Amino acid sequence: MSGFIRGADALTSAVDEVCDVCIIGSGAGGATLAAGLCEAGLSVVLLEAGGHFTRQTFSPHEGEAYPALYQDRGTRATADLAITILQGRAVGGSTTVNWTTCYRTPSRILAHWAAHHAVEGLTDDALRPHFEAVEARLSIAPWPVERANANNRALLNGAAALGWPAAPTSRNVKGCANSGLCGLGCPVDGKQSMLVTSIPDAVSAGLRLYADVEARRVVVEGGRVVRVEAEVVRRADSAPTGVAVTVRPKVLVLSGGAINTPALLLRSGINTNGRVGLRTFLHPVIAVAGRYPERIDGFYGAPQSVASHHLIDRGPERVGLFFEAGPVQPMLIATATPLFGEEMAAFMAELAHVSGLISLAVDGLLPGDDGGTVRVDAAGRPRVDYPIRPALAEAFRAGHEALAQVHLAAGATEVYTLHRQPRRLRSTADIAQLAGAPYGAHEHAIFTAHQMGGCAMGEDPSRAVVRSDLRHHSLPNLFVVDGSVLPTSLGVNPSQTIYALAHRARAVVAAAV
Amino acid sequence: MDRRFFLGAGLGAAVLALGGVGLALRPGRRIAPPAGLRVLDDVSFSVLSALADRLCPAVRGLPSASALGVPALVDAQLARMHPADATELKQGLLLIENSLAGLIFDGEPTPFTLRSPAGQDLALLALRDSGLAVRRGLYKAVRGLIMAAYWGHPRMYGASGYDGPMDLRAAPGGAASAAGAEVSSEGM
Repeated sequence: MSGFIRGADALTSAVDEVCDVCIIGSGAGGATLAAGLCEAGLSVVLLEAGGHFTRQTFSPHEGEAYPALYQDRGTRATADLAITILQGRAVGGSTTVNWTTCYRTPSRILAHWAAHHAVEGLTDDALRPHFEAVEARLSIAPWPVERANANNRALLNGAAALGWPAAPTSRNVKGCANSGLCGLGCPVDGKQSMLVTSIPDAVSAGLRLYADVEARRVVVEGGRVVRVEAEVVRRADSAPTGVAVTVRPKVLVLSGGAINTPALLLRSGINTNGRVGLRTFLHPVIAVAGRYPERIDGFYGAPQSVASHHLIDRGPERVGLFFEAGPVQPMLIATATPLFGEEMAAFMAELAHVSGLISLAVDGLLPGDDGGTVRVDAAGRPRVDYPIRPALAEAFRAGHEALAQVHLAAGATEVYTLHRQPRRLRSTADIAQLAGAPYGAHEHAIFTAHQMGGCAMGEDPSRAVVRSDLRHHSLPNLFVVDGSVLPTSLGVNPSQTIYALAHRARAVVAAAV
Repeated sequence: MDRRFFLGAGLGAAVLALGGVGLALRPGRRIAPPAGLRVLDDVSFSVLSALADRLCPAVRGLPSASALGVPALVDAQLARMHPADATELKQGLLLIENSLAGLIFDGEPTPFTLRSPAGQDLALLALRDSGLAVRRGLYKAVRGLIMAAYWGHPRMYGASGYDGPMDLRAAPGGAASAAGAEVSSEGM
């Protein structure tokens, strides 16, 4: 039995669906789950707020792709605008636009969750079959180091020169053309995102996927979810078309990601213990650019294929760090760089010689590090507050210093920070300047591409939103299956953890129908 | 952006509360906007154009932002955004232009559009380096939209050494579509 994907053009009259399972969100969690449930013969409806784009309709131009494929038209940010939030909004969710880096959940993180967040049953052994299953389906494998582009080799070479460990990452690709366009939608379907794997699997097995449909409210009656109220939105500007979509499922699964899922719960008044939206983590990112004598051409090649976890553990009172690379493409870099005028033009003229490395902070592990908070405004729109605490500001400083070291060790002739007033370093002696630089909100560029938490899992109903099996603590036919269930950040890119948790959740959700 | 981000911080509110004061209403330079603007009016378009041409001036043989059509592109992007966000950005532009705000924050009562290029650069630096995070946020928001429209423009690729995206349209396709599935994916 084949299902369908219907977008706004086809949704011109009200839809009223009855099904076994309704899933909201088609990213790493929702799509992985949908495929398993459909293949098990269940009736599944999936609502996706973003549009359905394919390799034929992706634009390879940043100016068109970011507004089309990212939340808030590419302008999502924390409420104070200090942190730029890169988060996908399309069929396939963030997997459609991520940079393909995959890691299994670190053992030390699983142990931390068990010890500090009452998470039960998540061990290396318990997760192994799920990791293996998604690795097979998504072709997750180490990226050959010889295919790493010069931007990533700068990290590899710089770390090697410093005696720091660094290694190629695993990527979910098959037939990658090394176009560098991962963040704009893969033009050759080489990226094994949900768009080309689990969603086609699910549709072939009967999934009814409604794209361009935003869930507004979850309705609870008699202690159970009874329906989802949603509406069709225009692809061009997300304005409601006035067409209502109602779904009446036996089981509801929220998979909208670590900002939209808590927001939907809050809009719906489902926040029994007051924990929804709390402990939101971002792996806050700072970037440091290095100017090299040779061309780097970070425009092209796998954007992210090398990582170093040399500073992942900096002791019990410091935020851990890991280092990766990001695409060096004109619009992304221009918006992140604080310069303007002649100075900006001069910087951009050298972009082909620039390597962009990033430092990601592992938030949520230190005592008292509660990360940020998702709330909703009067109109029901999500808002993210994320204070930069002293420990994180210190981590930003350490990240700047480490990346400057890497660049200089790799042969950069000049290193630029993305401070409001950028620091320019030409030797290791200059790195001392960074100690006196300011760190925090609006002092330098800060980003996130990894949103986690806000609906934490755990067995303590006073501290967690869902149980360790991802079932809601109060509503027996409600599950959360996305990055929002993570009790802390991970210290690695989160997509594979979400794939595996969703794969594991298939049996529990099916049994709840 | 957070609704009431600027006004909530008291900056816009203070200025708007004094809206009857002549200084606050001192007119600036206006340029005729192109037909078809969807969000910006002639005042906000003029301010945005002046800002864009200082952020991305005609230097090193590059076109100015206006010559590249950046203000209209920003208007198009604002039209895609949530109306509340677009409205707030527009209010931020008016705040930058406002003489009274200029006097309070920069000690300069001249509307932004009437300042000299050097004066406009000083105003931009004052905004970027303001002690008030809300003003730094405004700088980031305005600058981000303008830089995205300018440096994301295909005509500018060569100026950054970018040869443009690989043309892979003829590459063999993957298995994106479920065989036999109904797919209706066009937007409205």
